[in-house]
Amino acid sequence: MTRRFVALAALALCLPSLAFAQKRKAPVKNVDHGEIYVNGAYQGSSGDVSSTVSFTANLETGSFTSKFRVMPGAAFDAGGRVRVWKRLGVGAAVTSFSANGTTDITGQVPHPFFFRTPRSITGEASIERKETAFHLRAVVSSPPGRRLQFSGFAGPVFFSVSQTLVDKANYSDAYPFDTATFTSATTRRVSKSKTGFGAGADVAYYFMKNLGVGFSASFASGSFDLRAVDDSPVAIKAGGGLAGLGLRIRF
Amino acid sequence: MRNVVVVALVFATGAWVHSQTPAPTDRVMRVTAAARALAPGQSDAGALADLRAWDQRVTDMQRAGDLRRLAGISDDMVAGGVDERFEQRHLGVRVFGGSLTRQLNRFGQAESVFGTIYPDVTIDVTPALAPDAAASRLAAAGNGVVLRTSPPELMIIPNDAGGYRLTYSARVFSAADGWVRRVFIDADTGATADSYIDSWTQTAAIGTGSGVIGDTKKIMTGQQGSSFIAADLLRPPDSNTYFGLPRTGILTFDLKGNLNRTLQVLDFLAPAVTDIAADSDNVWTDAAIVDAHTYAGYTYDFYYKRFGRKGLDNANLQMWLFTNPVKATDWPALFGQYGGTFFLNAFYSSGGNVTFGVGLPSTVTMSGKTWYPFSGALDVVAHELTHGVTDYTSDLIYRNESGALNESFSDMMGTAVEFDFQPVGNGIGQADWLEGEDIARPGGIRSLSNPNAYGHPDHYSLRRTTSADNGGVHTNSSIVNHMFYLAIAGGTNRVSGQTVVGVGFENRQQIERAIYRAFTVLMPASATFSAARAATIQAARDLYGTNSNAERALTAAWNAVGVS
Repeated sequence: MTRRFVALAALALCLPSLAFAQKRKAPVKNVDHGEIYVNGAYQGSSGDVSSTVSFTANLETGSFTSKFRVMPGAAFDAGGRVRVWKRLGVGAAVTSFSANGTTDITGQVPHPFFFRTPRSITGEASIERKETAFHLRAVVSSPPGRRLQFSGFAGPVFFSVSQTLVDKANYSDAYPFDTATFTSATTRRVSKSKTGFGAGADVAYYFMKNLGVGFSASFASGSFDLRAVDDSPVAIKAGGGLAGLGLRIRF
Repeated sequence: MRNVVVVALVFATGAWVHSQTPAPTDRVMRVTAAARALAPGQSDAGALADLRAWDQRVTDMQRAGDLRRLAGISDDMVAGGVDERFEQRHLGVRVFGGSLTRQLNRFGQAESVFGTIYPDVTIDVTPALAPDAAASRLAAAGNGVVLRTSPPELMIIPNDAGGYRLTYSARVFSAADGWVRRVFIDADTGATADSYIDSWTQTAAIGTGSGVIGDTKKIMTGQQGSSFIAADLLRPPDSNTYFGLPRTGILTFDLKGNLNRTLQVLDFLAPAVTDIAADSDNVWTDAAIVDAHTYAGYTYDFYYKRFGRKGLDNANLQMWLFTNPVKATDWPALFGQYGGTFFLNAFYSSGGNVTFGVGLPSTVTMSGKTWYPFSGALDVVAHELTHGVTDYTSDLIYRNESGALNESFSDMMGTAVEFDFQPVGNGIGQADWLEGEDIARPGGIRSLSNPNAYGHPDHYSLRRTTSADNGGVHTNSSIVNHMFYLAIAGGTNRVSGQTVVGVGFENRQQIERAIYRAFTVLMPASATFSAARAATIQAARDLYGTNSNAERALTAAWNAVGVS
């Protein structure tokens, strides 16, 4: 997909010379059969991923919680639309986002000698979130003016999320066992797909007949559960606010 | 005894002046010397001179072979310090009760010396009896068998009428009544010279009993095939193994109420793996076993965490806990012979071994109390195991004042362990100032806060001067117990009317640590109450400084109970 957009961008670079050549001859009426775009984008946080896992140790139930905040970060956004009737069109886009970071782990480990005397552990583990979203859109566009063109869009979003979850908080302890020390975390990558909804707007500035730059702002969201190692649900939110800036090619 | 007591302290008041250098004609020399004055009115300069004289004397005696250095241990509680322990020898033979401790600071200078020596021993040490013959004579004198852990040893004992006697001595277990005795026989004639019960035990007042409180707790076990045994594998193990038993720190045996097997095992014919308490599913239902095993673990934990001590001998000696020595229901037939051992008692009998009595059936009351298995009380278990700590430290002689101190140390530490593991309160399973309240219901068997309520002395003037109970070791201990209570909680002594400002319950560790240091490091085997006073005050200074709250509370508490 990315390679396709790069080819289109290269094509766009050739267009200014053509437009320049035409400019001196006669005014040309702008047409708008559709548009393709590619954005460098910034995606906001979709919230925290918090999972609590219970386990059995020393005849009691212990637990640990890992909390990972999906931090905002760079994203890739590309897509296009085709006008189908008057100012209405249909579009499709794909966005890709990933966030790496650490998750804070806090846990309670049962004492081997005594009931109801848990020991606390704290630690960190590396976590990765990857999101790929495929958007189908209904698009309403403004008439193609000399320079500016506005669009609004909305439609379903098909999310595919890959998230690292902490399966086990490993710890060490020794006599007299009054403390335990976090040593590492055993993690696992979990993937799941889910449909959500997205909407947004785009404004393009065409400094040439078919080539311009644009800014888009959109929001997409999908909520679903992953399953922790003990089969407890881990609520996930995908998507979030997305702001992008990039090339526009109109045809 | 024709005791001429020389205390190496100079009292500036002049009420009584003691020689700084013991005269050679003194029959017994009791030493309490420290770098600073230990008693009101004593000058620091005089005390220091006294200490230097004793320090030199210890060195001279060691060079001459009259003192044998048993240990020189780095002091865990005073940085850079070394604690030395000596026993007196005459021509290589131990003089019973002659022992000294010397505490060195980080510069190798003596900080204090405590102990007792006999300066005029001159007897010949060649016995007419051979050791093998002595062993059989000792066994006969004790009506039992000589313990393997205590083979016959030549020993010089002071005669009450003066002079000294060369003897053989050993600990002897008697199957006739379940007691271990320290027996002395004349090394020439084989005649019994002395004997006393040496099962370091907590004797219950016959009457109330109590048992296991029905709580659920974790028990440390070992899996063996498809079964589980009461072998604590999580606490630090002994580096040795014995008789093919598991190498663990704590082993609990189930004698299954079989008196014959009990007598065999306590005869030290060696307990077998099959004697170890076992359970098929690790869900243990024998409360006596559960409590003996878990409470021994708690006691180990207390000593480790509070004092840095690794078990009874500070080297993780394996603890053997014997439960169910008889069946409680057999009491009509057996109580007359074994009531004070296997029913209403628990006792420590050297080598890290403790036997817990079974109590009485719940339908039977005695002395107004219901008696439960003795392992069901945390303070009782800790009490008995503390006898083991004493066994490997001061080795307080189990009679008269040193015996009462031996008992009191166990009571004090038993109470301290209870406060450390149970919630404070007045009910069953709660920590209080009573001893044995969970197994002798209602009320337990002793009180540290109010000994008089149990008919026990709470002031030195009321001490029992009896030959019974090894000189009242279980009653006179209450004087020291009450001192411990007053030093922590404060209050007014009933007899003296003196009021003590204690360190406060939240600071009780200060007193516990001072007591522990005094009883395990500073005190000699033959310590008196007066020596214990000096040693505990010195210990408080060592740990918390001169004129610290702990020192002032201990001093006031000893004053209040009449020990000077």
